[in-house]
Amino acid sequence: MIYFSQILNKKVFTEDNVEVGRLDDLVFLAETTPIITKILVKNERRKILISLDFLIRINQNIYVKKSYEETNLSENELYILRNLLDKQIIDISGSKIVRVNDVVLQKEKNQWYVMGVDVGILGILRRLGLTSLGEKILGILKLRLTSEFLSWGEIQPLELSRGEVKLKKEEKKLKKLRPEDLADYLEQTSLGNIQKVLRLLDEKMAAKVIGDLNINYQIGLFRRMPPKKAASILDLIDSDEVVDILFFLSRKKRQEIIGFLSKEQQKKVNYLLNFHQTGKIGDFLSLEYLAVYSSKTVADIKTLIKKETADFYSLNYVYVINEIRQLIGVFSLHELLLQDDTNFVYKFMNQNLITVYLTTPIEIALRKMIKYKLSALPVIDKDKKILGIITIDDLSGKLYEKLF
Amino acid sequence: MKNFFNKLKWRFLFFLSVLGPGIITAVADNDAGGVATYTVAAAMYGMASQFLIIPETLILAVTQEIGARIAIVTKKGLGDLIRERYGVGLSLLIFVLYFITNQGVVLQNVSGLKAAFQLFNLHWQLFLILTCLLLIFFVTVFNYKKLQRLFLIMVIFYISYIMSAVLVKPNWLEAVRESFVWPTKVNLFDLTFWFSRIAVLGTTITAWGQFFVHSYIIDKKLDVRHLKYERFEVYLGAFLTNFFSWMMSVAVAYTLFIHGIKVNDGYTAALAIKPFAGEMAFLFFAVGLFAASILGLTIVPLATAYVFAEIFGYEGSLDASFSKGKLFYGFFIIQILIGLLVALFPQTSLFKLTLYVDFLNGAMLPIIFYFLVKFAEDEKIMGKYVISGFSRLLVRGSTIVIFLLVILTFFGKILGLT
Repeated sequence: MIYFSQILNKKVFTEDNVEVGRLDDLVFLAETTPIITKILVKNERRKILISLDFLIRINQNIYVKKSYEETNLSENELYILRNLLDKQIIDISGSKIVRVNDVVLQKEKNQWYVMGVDVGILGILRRLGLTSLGEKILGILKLRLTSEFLSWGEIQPLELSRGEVKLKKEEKKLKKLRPEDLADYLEQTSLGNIQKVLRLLDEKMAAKVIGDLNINYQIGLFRRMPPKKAASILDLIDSDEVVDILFFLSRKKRQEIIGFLSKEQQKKVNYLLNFHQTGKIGDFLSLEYLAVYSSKTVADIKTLIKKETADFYSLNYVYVINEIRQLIGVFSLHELLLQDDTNFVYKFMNQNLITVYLTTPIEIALRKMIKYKLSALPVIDKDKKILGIITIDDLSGKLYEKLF
Repeated sequence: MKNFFNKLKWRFLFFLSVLGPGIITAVADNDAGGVATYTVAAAMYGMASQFLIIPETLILAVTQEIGARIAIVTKKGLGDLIRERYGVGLSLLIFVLYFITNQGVVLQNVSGLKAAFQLFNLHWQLFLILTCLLLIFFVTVFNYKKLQRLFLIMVIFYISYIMSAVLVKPNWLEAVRESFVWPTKVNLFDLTFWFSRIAVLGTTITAWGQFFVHSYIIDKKLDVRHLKYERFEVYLGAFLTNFFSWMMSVAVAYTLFIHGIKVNDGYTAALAIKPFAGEMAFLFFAVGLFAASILGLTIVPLATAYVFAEIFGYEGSLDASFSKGKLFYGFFIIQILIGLLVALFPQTSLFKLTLYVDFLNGAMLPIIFYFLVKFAEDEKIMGKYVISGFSRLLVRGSTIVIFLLVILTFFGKILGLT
């Protein structure tokens, strides 16, 4: 994770150390996945737009292949400095919220992304090169600033092309740093990077973020973490989730971590762990669900429901997936009916998902349904891809057994 | 014929819908500090202190009009544009300078208010605190429309300067000749006269005035259809403010100047007028000072708050509720409270302060006009409303004149001629 302000004006060299100029701007795709596509390099004579394919690395300086070619701006591409930085952020009702103080960039495999925008005072201090001074002064005043940022998931990419940084929600519904969105972005990065970001957050927030991470990353993180530290974070996560995570760890590590948990959490977790032998989700998995893309409109969904779900036994929720079938959201039929026909799914879908895995014990799935008052839960695999659903109707037999 | 009147009626109604920003900003330029400067100059030099008032009005009109035009076309404040074009560093620097300058102006207005209460023989500490609290209440609770009405009522109070000018029974013909044509009663080679004249101009064309007219128009939510009418309104404002200050100068010139009495501020001027022009003229003058202080005391902190909200992107509208515009209203309240606290300590020297405030204001003007011209001539920002031809010449000309005057004043201050 780096900040745009940290690389702006850095020198750009070719691999044999010939200076090309200084970094003047970055170009990104104004879409759901905001990939950085080009860099703008400026020298005394002119400005050169180079595709990111030629980028070798970014560290003290930026290096590009000497065989770089110039290119032009394509459709849907915007500049960070010219179109995003310092711009006014408004919420969906048009109220001004704050300005874009800095832009957070993120690397995954060989791609760079815009992860989100910094909206805090720390962002301003960083731009001014006063971070350490600012922290000293705040230290004297016994205040601590935390980074505040909005993830890309909050911003409407379409509006950005029209010159407005517009959010998908109203300000009061907005938590400046939404753990689940942060988790989404962290998943595009290495474990080392996740750890780095998590260290910046306070424990409570870190716990929330970890709770929302893909199970693969959760396992990876807890495998690396010393048991004591792992326990301190797991103490803050819902016991249902803790069990989900613990099941993927080795028996030895599991026992070590449980040993460090707080008394109360330990009791809950041990209780839930006992259900492990009682049966698996797979036996109840149903394929009677509807999964749609977030770019569809309400009218599209209504047509889809008529076309595809006519022979379903019941339909309570519609699940939202991305291009690679990863589950990214959900909404109920009630929520659907409340929307205008022209509204887009991504604008109203619920991103805070309650999910289960094939390994999740039935009892825990039932507990989640009752706790969150849901009549069905999506079952996902390690990569967050949706496998099917389980419904309370199918599980009612189990429920009956438990009660009597 | 009937059609013609009908058309005229609609035009007039449309004009009323834009009424406000130009007049309020321009008239508020005649705040307590302005009154002090005019009266001191008029007591020293008579109506010659208003020499070249016509070109001055023109410069004010032209400079305010570019602000109004940029605001209507872009729907962005000057603070917005500076932040978006020049980044966070420069905007923060400008805001800090601007905050300090405006705090000085607020202080001048609090002490103007104090002087007005003293002239009415009121318990000034009590009334000062009450008035400040009342102002804070009005601004935070009232919406744009209601507040604007309040401002316009304050503008009407300025008529009292006309009354007091009439009551001193001046030689109107001579006043017109001295100010509009050629001054005969001062030595035009006297440099101190010219510095005093520039100071008079300096209280009319201010840094906060440029920012305020901009922000206030945006808050009024005018659009391009209003451009023509708003321009007229701005011109009317420029005329009105100088008309009022001219009347004020008449009242002072035909009492104090002809009797050779020098004064330091609006307070001593009002007191000194009494023996020559009577109780009524004195009262009108005091009422004028009161209105000027109230208007300045509200508009200037608002101008600060608007720019803060613009630069840092927070909600900044008089129509916003307090909880939504916390920081916007917060800056307004802070400036008034600082002003109030300082004024309650009687030993503070406001004379020195006025000097520094003028200095800072002068230092900011060239920067602001640089931005204004830059934005107004930028086709990317202004589209087809970009200024060109004669109006561009006029704007550039006015800017250069202001640049030169600011540099002259700085030299004058360094050489100790003012």
